[in-house]
Amino acid sequence: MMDFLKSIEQLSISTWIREGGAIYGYALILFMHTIGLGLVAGITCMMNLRLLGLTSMPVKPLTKLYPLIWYGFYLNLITGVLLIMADASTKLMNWDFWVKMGLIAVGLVIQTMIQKKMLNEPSNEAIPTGVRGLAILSLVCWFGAILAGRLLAYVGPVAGLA
Amino acid sequence: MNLAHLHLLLNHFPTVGMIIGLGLFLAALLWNSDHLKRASLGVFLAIGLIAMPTYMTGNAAQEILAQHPSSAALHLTALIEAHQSWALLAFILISLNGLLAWTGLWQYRRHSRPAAWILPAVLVCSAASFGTMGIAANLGGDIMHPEVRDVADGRASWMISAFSQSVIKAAVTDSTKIWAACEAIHFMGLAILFGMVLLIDLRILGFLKGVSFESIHKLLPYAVAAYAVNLATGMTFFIAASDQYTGNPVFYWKVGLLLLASANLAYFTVMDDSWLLKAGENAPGRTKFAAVTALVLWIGVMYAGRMLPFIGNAF
Repeated sequence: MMDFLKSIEQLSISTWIREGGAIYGYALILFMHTIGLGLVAGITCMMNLRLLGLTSMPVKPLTKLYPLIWYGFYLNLITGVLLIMADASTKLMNWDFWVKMGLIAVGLVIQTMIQKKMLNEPSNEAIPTGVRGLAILSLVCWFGAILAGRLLAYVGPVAGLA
Repeated sequence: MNLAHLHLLLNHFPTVGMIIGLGLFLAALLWNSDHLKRASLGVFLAIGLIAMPTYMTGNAAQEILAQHPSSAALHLTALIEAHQSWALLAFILISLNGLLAWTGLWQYRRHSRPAAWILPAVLVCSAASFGTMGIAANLGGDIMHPEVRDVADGRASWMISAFSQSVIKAAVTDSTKIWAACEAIHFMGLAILFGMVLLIDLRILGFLKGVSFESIHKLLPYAVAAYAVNLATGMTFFIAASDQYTGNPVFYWKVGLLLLASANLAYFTVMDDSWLLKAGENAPGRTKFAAVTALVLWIGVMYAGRMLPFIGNAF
C-alpha cells in the first residue's frame, strides 16, 4: 500500500506540483482550492442562513446559485486530487483526511436533498418541511470540513507539505 | 522610506483622529443631529481601519530600532515593550469601537435610527480608546524624545508594569493548538465573508435580480462578525510571529488590499445607490463598478494571504 502511495508521489505531475516553483505549482493549486472552499462553504452558508429564517429574501431566485456551489465543488475535487497526489503517502494515511472526506460526502448528500426539496417547491417564499434541519446539518458539514482540512497540516503523520 | 517611517506617519491618525471623532460625536449628541452622529460614526470606523497598519508598522519600527547601535545604550527595550503593550490595548479598543460604529451605521441605514444602546456604547468605547491611545502615544513619544521622558525618570512607572503583550506572544508560540485553531477559524471566517461578497455582487450585477438589496443588507452583520473574528485570529498570528510578516512584501499587499476591501464593504453598508435597489431593478453603473471592485479586492486579499508562506517567508 505504502509503495503504491509513494509511487503516486513519484509521478512526474506530482513532482511538478511539489517542486514547480512558488507561483505556479503547489501554491497556486492551494489558492484555487481556497477559492473553491469559499464558493462551496460561503454560498451554502448564505443560503442556509436564509433557510433558517435569518433574512427575508425570496427563496426562488436563490435556487439559481446551486450550480455555482457545484462548480466550486468540482474545482476543489480537481485541485484536491492534485494536492493529494503531491503528498499521497502522508495525507492518505492521516485519519483526519478521512474525517474530512466523510464530512464532504455527507455535505454533498445534504446539498442534493435540499436542492430537490427546494426545486419541487412551487411557492416563491415557502420553505418545505425538513429543510431547516438539513440547513443546520449542512453548516456543520462544510465548516467541519474546513476545520478538518486546515488541521491536516497539524495532526497525524508529519506532513511533507503544509 | 521604510516601515518605521510609515509608522511615524500613521501614528498620529488614531490619536488626533480620536480627538476629532470624539469632538464631533459630543457635538452631535448635544445638538441631537443625526447627520453629525452618522458622520462621527464614519470617522470612528475610518480610525478603526487605520489603527491596523499603525499597530503593524510599529512592530517593524521596533525591529529596525533593535538593530540600531544606540538602542541598548538608551535602555529603550522596556520603553518600547510598554509602548507596544499599550498600543495593543488601544488597538483592541479602537477596533471594537470601529465595529460598534459600523453597527450604528448599519442600524441607521436599516431602521433610520440606531438601537438605544449603540450610541452610549460608542461613547464609552471611544473615550476608553482615546485614554489608552493617549498613554501609548505618550510612551511612543518618549522612545525617541529623551527631553520629554518621564517614565525613565521614575515618574509614571505604572505605565510600564500595567500589562505586557509578551504574554500573548508566549502563549501562542508555546502551543501549536492555539495556532492551529486560529487557522481553522480564520478559514471559516474567510468562507462567510466571501459568501457574503458573492451574494452582494451577484445581486448588483443582475444575476439575482429577484432579490432586493435590503434583504441582503440584513445579512451584512454576519459578514462583519466574520470580519471581526478574522481580524482577531489574524492579529493573533501577527503578534505571535510579527517578524515573519513585517519583512514580507506579500503581507503589505494583503493589508493594503484588505483596507480597500473594508472601505468597499462600508460603501455597501451606508450608500443609497445599492440600498434603494428593489427586487427586479437594475443597479446603476457606479454600483456595479463597486461590486466588481469588491470581488477583485477580496480575491486579492485571499491570494496574498495564501501566498504568505510561498512567496513570502511566513508559515
